[in-house]
Amino acid sequence: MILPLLSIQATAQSPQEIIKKSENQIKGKTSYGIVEMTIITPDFKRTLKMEGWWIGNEKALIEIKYPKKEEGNKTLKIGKEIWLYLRNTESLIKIPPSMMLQSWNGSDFTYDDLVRESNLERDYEMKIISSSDTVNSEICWKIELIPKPQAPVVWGKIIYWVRKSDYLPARIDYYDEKGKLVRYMEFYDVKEFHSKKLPAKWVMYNNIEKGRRTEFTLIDIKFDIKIDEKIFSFKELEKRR
Amino acid sequence: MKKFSPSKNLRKEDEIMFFLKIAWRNIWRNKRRTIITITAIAFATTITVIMRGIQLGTYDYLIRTIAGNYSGYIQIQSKGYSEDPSLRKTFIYSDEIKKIIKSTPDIIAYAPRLYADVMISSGENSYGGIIYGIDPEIEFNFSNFHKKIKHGRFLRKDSSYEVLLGDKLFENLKIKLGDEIIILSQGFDGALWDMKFKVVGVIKLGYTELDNAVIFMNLKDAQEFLSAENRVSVIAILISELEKIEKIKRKLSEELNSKSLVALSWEDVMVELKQSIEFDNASGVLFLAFLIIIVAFGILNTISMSVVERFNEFGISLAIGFKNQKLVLIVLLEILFIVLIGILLGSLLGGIFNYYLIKNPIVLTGDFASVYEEFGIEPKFVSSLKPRIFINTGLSILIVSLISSVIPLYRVYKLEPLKGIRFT
Repeated sequence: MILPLLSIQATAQSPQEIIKKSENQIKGKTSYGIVEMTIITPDFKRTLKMEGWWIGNEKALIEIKYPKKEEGNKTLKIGKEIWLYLRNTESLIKIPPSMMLQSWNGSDFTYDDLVRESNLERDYEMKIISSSDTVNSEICWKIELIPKPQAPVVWGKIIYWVRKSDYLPARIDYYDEKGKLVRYMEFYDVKEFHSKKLPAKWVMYNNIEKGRRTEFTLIDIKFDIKIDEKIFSFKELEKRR
Repeated sequence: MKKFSPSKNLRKEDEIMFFLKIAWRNIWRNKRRTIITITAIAFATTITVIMRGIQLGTYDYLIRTIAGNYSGYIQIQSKGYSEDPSLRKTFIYSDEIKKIIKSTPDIIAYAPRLYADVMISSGENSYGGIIYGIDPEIEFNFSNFHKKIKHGRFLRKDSSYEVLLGDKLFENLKIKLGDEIIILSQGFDGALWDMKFKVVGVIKLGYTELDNAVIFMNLKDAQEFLSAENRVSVIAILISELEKIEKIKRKLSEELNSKSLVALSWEDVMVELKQSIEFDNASGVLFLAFLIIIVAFGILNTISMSVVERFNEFGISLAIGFKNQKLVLIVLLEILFIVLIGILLGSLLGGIFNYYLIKNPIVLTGDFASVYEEFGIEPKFVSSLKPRIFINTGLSILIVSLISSVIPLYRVYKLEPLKGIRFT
């Protein structure tokens, strides 16, 4: 059992393996977290505190805890659909397809980003460009991901940096089909959460509207816990907790 | 010797009168040819005046109705709003700004408006929408929105949380008049906010893009909903004459510059309308240019004939000492007579027609009409009696006629007595 694993370790690793390992570090089968989201634009800065539950890529529920005005607003993702529960009007709204590219809660993420299934291994051809690139003084693999011909993806190219020391992602660049850098995510501040090492700060920089970025600060995160599927139902959504 | 100089001057004037008389008589020596030429020129002038009249008149009409309703002839907005029409680029509608507008002459109406992209939902059905926050009282005198109500009623100044929806949006939401809908938007403070509004009316602007999305509400409701106290996106302005747009725009821009505001004309805001007018105008001018060129060949033909026909008598005149230059002058005067009569006659006919069309605009039906209806305006041809139509038409026909008579005139200038006499 151990021998083949060792031999892979010893020889060069395939980019697929590196990316898979890295993705697994920051994702679980299920997860629960408390996250602070800060939206920074040249005009203003705004912080939201959120609590979220995820089951793989299938279901997610995010509830806003702060600021007061938006407290109790919930975003529910079921498969490819997004529903919003709005506390003020106590109403449930399904985001129509035409609005999926709108910003989610004013961040640099769209509703579409929340539902788009990302299966990098299935959709992209991978190639290691460099094995000794540095991002924020960490030595990284620099891996280029080019979409496979028929893959249903929006990006023209992704560059993925994985830290060699602990397989955590360091930076991800997203390019459009014309080869223009649209946005990039950087990961900082590695901390231990329930004996798992994770970057505590994720920052998505908007490269189209310069000066805009969205920062996520993990306050608490747990992986592979048991989540009651009931919380993803509409009935539960409308219950005020 | 002194005695001769005044009489010499007198002789020159006499000479011109004499030439004029000869030219006038000459053109009537062959009545039929002259009448045909005059008719051709008059025809070209009439057609040009009518076509230009309809074009310019209709452009004016389009600008007055489309720009008048939506953008205003001039609008005030924040610098950078046209590149990024977001809530962040709205501005405080202060008394100071009001004072500046009020003190500007020629402004007959102005309307503050707040626009925002939102999501509107009736529960199961949700769509993207655009809020038009307006002051209903002001809009009564400004736009004709209140005339486009399909069901229900227009907004009232004193009632709150009521909306008017575009008819397509209303249909899509599958609701009834009096139902409540939920509007969701990110406000000026960045927070996502949702509120219930009562649907009191359905509006059909006839502009598909808007009928699919527009949500009219009271300006103060929109400001409250979007956390944008006292803020507006634009102030639309109407002035008495379209010709004064540039002047007033400059004046307002100067005065508002210190507040980071700009005044733009409808051409800056409604680029699409401006471009379609420019395109139509260019194709119309091209068509008329072809028409005038064809007429020019007709003139070339008649003048050449009338000149060649008289080579005999020109030869004799030259033989008894008449100068070539003077012959050229006489022929030139003949051409001028014919062209001027044609232009005057054509302008008169065209003018009468245009006047009639202004009084009785042609209402279009069928395919043409549907194009207009897409923009939500009554499909009709309107004409114009602007002086520039007549001046431009007259001048271009005159110039083209003179150019086309260069060759016959040159032949007269180079004519030798014997060659003329013997010309067959």
